Amino acid sequence: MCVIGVAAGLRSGYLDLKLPDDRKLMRMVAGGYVGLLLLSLAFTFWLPYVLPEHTR
Amino acid sequence: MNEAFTGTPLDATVLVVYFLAVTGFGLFFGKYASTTSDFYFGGRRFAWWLIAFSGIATTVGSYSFVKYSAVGFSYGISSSQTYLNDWFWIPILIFIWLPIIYYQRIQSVPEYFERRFSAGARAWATLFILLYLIGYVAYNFLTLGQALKSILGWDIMLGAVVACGIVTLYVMAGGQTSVIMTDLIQGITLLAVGMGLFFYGVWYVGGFGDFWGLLPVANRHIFSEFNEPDKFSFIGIYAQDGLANTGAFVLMNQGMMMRFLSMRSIRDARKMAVCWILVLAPIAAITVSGSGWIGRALAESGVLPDMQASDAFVATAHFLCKPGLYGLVLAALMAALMSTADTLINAVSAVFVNDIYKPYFRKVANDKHYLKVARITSLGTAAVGLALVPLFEGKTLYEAHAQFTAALTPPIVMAILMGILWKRYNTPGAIATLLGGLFVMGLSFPYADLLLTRFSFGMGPDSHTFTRALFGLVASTAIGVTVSLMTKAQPMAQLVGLVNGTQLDAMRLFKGSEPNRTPGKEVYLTVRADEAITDDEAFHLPADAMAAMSARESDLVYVCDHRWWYGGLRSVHGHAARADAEAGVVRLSPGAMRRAHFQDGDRVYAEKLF
Repeated sequence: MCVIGVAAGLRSGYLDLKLPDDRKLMRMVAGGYVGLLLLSLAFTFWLPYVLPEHTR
Repeated sequence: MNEAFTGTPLDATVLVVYFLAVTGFGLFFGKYASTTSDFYFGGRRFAWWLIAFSGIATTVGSYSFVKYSAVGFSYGISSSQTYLNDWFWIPILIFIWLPIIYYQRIQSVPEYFERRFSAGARAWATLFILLYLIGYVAYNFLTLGQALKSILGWDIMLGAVVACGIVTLYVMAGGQTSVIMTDLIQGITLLAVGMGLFFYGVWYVGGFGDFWGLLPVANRHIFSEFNEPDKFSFIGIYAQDGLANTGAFVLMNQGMMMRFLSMRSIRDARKMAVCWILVLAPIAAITVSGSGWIGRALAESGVLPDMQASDAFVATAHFLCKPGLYGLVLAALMAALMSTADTLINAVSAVFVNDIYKPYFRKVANDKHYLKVARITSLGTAAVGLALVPLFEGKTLYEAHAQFTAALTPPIVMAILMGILWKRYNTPGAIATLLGGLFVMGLSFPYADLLLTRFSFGMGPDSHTFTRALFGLVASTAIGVTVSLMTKAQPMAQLVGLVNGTQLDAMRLFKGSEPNRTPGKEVYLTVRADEAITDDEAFHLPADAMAAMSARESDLVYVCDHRWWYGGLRSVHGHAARADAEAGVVRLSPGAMRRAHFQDGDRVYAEKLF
């Protein structure tokens, strides 16, 4: 879905990476997605196991 | 809400003060609604940050605090998945759907169906969307009544009438402008209270380390298991919330569509979408779920007794908050309810006037007439919603509406998505998607085992509520593609500006000439009224300002009060006229000055749009 949206924007010429605004937008979107991915990885493979489970 | 968590008189006072403040705030902005464009789209003048905060209040629905705290209590931080699932829709929203609706001046979802397909498709879309929205209005009033019964001990109907009265009063007065401004306050209230409650809870249990240690390991994962448990699996949530519901939120939610159209430019709409997805949605996820996570930590530590998941929000808030503060928490709950109800009422009014009254009853009338009808329709919508409250209390209608909504969402989402992405998709295909999709989805209720098993990834009947959405999306797509390929394609001339690949054509049509996308700067100027200017949309700027903005004559220009905190409330759109103003001054007609709420000599900034 994400690739469809970006590819459609590029093919139509509406998303124009020669324009500074569009470049900045794509940087923010890509950076944000990488950030969300890192967050998800941390909360899947690392953080759940850093502390032992509390026992009542 | 459990009656054990009823507030004190001080909490009730806080709540009443909150109600009065919101009503007063909403009524104050009534003076900014003098046209239908103001009433439905806030004059299309607002800044992205204002819409982002008000939009988050709408996103956090009537049920969110109670529902997601319950899920957070049971399943842990994976309750945030619903709010973190939206990201993959954003490119489709900002690069395809937004430019189409904004530049084609499409005012409602059904209107897109007529422009892209036919009047028949619009009629079906209008019918379905109105039934969907009015049901939600009733559901919101019922929830408001139930909440006020728990908090103040009022009868459900009395609570619904009072809440409905408050919301309707300010919606009628100021339309979208009042909705945006009150939702801004309500959004800030609910985010502040939800986050405050979470961080105070973390501090109460001894800090983040202790909080994390108290959560069972199974509750510390950001996603649940792929296909278990049946009622909260990763794939089920992804299909229902991520694909169908977010698709509906992005493409067919009339309230959010109007919110996007209320912004001063597409540039702001893009910023709002990115801020919403990367910043506000994760914060909202913590806001609505945090009490459930804290409730689980408190229960694990033995401070709170184990409780029903559905009580997690109020039980945690009641335990952590002193009287008065608990009233603020209840106000945040009310904020979530009221900010959804006001958006729905405004949206129903927009669909009724734009898609029923104008095409079928009064095609030609002046704007004042339509504004009057818009206000009456808002009142009528509230009255119908209120009349349905007793029927929704008796479960049957409530469940029927819930099933109708679940059945309706995938066909409409796919009809719009295929409409904007695929040029070969045509009118018979769209009508078949809507009606066929709804029919097949209807069959999935009595024949769930037969139809849904293949879409359930090995899960049992409890997963059907979630996986039905996936079935609906696949079935609707199959119907739409098959019928479109078997029937005649629409001529390309009918699709210009309405499908992907023609966004630049939509910009050209909007402007009436070639878009100027050369980057330019904002320019600070002093605004002067000029009686000699008769065209309210002709802005006379000095030559040096035009050069700094990279603007040419006839380019679209936006002039706004320089104080950022107005959020665009005092601003106006027009086009650059001859560059004949003196240095440091922008000259506007008296009409434009009135529309923008400018005073002669105000400091403003001007920017070229395109």
